[in-house]
Amino acid sequence: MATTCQKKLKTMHFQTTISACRLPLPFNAEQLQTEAANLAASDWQAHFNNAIYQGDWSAAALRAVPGSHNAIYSDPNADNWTDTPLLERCPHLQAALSQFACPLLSARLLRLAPGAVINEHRDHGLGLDVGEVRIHLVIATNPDVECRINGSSYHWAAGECWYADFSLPHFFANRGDTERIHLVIDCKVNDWLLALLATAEQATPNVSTLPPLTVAWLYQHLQNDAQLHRQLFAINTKDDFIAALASVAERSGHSLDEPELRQMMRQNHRAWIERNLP
Amino acid sequence: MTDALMDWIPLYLQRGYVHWGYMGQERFVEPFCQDTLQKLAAKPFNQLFGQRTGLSVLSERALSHPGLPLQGIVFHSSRCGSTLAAQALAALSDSVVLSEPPAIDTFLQWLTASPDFDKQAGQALLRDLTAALGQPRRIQDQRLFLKTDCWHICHIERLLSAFPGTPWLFLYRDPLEVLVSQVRMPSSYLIPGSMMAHGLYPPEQLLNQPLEHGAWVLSHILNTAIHALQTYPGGLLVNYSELPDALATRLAPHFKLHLSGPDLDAWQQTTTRHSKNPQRPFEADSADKQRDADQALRTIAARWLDGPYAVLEQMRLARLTDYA
Repeated sequence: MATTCQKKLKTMHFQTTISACRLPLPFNAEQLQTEAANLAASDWQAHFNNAIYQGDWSAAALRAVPGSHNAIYSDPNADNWTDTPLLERCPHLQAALSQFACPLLSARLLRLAPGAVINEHRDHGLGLDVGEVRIHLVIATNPDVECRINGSSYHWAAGECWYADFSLPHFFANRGDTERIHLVIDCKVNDWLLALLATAEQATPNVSTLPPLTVAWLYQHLQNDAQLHRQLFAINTKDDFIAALASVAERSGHSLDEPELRQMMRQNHRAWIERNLP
Repeated sequence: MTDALMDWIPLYLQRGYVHWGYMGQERFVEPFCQDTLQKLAAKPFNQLFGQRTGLSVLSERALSHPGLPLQGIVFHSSRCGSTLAAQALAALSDSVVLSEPPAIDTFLQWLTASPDFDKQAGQALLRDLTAALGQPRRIQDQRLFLKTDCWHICHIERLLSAFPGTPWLFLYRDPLEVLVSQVRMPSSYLIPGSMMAHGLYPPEQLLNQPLEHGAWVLSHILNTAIHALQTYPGGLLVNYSELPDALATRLAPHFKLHLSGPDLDAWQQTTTRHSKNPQRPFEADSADKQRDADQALRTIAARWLDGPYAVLEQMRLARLTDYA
């Protein structure tokens, strides 16, 4: 089966790396939202990959490997995924899953709380070339959820269904004040899924990405703005300085890569401390 | 074209590079350059925009920004009132004082480590570095003074070749009192071997004797001062015991200063305060330090320091008689 699919892949237009695309599958986000909201606190568990996120990122297993001690882990080697008792209590989620005419592996609700950030990472073992892909169905979100795949920013709206190549670097952050809940389904690639992907367009990033504020640009800018130069020089704490840069970025139509800037400042500070080393 | 280094200053030198920080209209008002530079280096602005250039930029810059003329160099034996002298000079309305600038020390170490480096090129770079450090900080700034690290008297030939004819001072005090001060708060030169970068290789038996190593370094400082007074014109000897009056009566005229009006007031106000703790008045504390000197310290002083100190005192008194 997998071999046939891979052969077909080679003939299809999206076989060249597709980062993300929206799939033409309709869902009623409100019904799913209500169902998700009715889950008990004990149905959710913190995501096990705690090295790559900050804040509250948790999951509820809808399909799992029976007897697994970690039901929300999508084990790439498992082949006996079955519906969990939790899914049996959720008819709308069942109906959503039943729209997929392909073998389903894991299915999970992933909940990213306000303020939570999933650092940029890659999920290996996924991809059209290995015959398994991950699809996100957006149940609840807000305009301040950041989604970046392979460097491009997207806004995935509630009710939308998205394929993305998660073996590429990807990043999520919930900068809003409501929860982001996705139904995340790992599918085995079959002809139906390939046909579905074929009808989808490679999505162009639908969030306009502002160019990052670079030190070189800022420095050049300061040469013509003596007042800003004085103002920035007078600041004595890093946090106030970053806040001032954020306002410069906003006024000048740039994004602010705060971690990057802080890292540069740390490095220069360290160089000062180590200035007397040979 | 905008001047990318306007109001920037070398924060430090490392591995052949100059690391610059923006200084704006700030002044060197702390007792030591190091304290001012530390504040600048801690500024987020400099942590983000800090620049690094090669040494040649110093020479290019000195052509367009020659800096203030160096009008006096303060050499000293450490713990002898040299900071008070520097602060008095810094109190003047038209003077910039570089007090033990670390970049000069680093550069002198480089010259020491490269005896084959062209002498004139070395002198030129020393001037260029001083120019970058000694830029006017206020519109009325007209002159520059340099207070060196105490061991820099060993580089007096380099410094006077770079700045020929510059008047200089050697300030010192009873070395026993210096040692008492070092016991209370040790200087870096007590660390055995710390002066090798300046060409001073201690005898092996001092490698585990910090205090005596300090006394040995100090003996070099005093002996070099004696030799320098016999070799280079423009030197003045002042003993701590003559402070603070001698700063106004002998140092000021030696550095061609005509103190009057607000400058005189500022000078006198400064020299009557403790230099590193201006809330306290300046009080000569020789009696206190003499009382604190135990027999071991006296033995060390007798071994390394009493001889050269006596010679310096003789020279100073002879010169005082000459003046009179």
